[in-house]
Amino acid sequence: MLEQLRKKAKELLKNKEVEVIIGYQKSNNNSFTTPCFIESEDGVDRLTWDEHCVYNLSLYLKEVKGKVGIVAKGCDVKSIVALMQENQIDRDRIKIIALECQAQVDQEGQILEKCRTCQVHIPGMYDELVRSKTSPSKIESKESDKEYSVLEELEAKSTPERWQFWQRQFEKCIRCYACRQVCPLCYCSECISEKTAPQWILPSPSLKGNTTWNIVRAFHLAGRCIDCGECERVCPVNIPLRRLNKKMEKEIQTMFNYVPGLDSKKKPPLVDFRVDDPQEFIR
Amino acid sequence: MNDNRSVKEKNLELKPSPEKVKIAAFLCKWCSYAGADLAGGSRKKYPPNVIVIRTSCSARTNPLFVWKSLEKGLDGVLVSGCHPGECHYSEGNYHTRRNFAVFRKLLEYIGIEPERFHMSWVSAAEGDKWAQVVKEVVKTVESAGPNTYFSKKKEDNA
Repeated sequence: MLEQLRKKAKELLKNKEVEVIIGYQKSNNNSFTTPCFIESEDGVDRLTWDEHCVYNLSLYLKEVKGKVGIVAKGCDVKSIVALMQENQIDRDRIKIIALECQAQVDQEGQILEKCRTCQVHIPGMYDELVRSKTSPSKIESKESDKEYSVLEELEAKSTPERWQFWQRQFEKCIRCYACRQVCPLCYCSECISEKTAPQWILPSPSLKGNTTWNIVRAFHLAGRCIDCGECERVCPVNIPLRRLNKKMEKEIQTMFNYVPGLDSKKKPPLVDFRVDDPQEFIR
Repeated sequence: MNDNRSVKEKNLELKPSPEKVKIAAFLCKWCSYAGADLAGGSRKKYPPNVIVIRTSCSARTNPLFVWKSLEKGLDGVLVSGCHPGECHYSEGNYHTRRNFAVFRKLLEYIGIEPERFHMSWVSAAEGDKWAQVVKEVVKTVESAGPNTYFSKKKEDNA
């Protein structure tokens, strides 16, 4: 699989179809991976592929100019689709080398939560596809592995209990904005969290400001988040951000029958409407 | 019509006391704001707990406004606009509807009582409906009690 990936990357660079390839390479101590940018054919051997390729490289697509090749898993392709929906990237200058992905593991060797319910082991959009030779689905499916099972525990709680739960989480927030920086869809050049006139969000790590920031972040991603789980992975204080994003995804799916990251022609749900949208909550 | 109380007594009855709930109402200037004006003009009685804020369209009401009102300590929020299909800007209220359909779910999930957020469609001709809506909303918000999300007391307990 790795040879195939390197071969395809080499071809793309050789034929001048791309100027740079964004991919994964081994980290310095060989224990994990790190993103890499390859500009010449000789560099192709640095490319790697294993179950440690957790990063969503589509984050760099906006920053790298010119023709780009990108190594992408199914979930990364979903965020590329979402970026295309919002006219943030030009499909013509991007070559997607898609990889069939079984599951990714974290540094402790645990299979990532998002991979347990993955529907896109084979990416939905690509220019080149590298199939895996091993038989699919190494993950044993568990009863608790339904798409939204991660939400059940919280949803079962009462409203004040949920408030307590989230306050305890937001209390930890140090406002490093890592969740924002790593999110491929948080691309605003000026973020509302940095506005000072008027100042909507208290910039200091206070309970009030933290709650507001996290609400704003969750809502700005509602209907757009493709659940790559990067925000939760990078959070230094382990706030379960994916539970917020997933909840928004669930509500939008039930109300508007929309799943993000699948169709680049569709409008995102919150800039779209239907005349017969649900409105039983309105007097 | 057989109300024999003096004007002063009636006014006293309508004054919000400190323990009464405070509600921010974001009203579209083309319909709900005019509707509220009509309610006043035709002397409809409704609780004085709402603080009316005029917006250029209900779609101007950013969900952040709603959260900020709650964060600042108001007890409830009401967003009101034109009936679907009657927006001055053709489709503004359809977007409002979608936005808040999602946002209210987020509030609920974060742990805000659903009784605190309300939406209504009130046209410029519906003074009666406005009075009715405010009565209902005030009653529901009262059932949720005062906003203590960020009050000192609660923070000490947590």
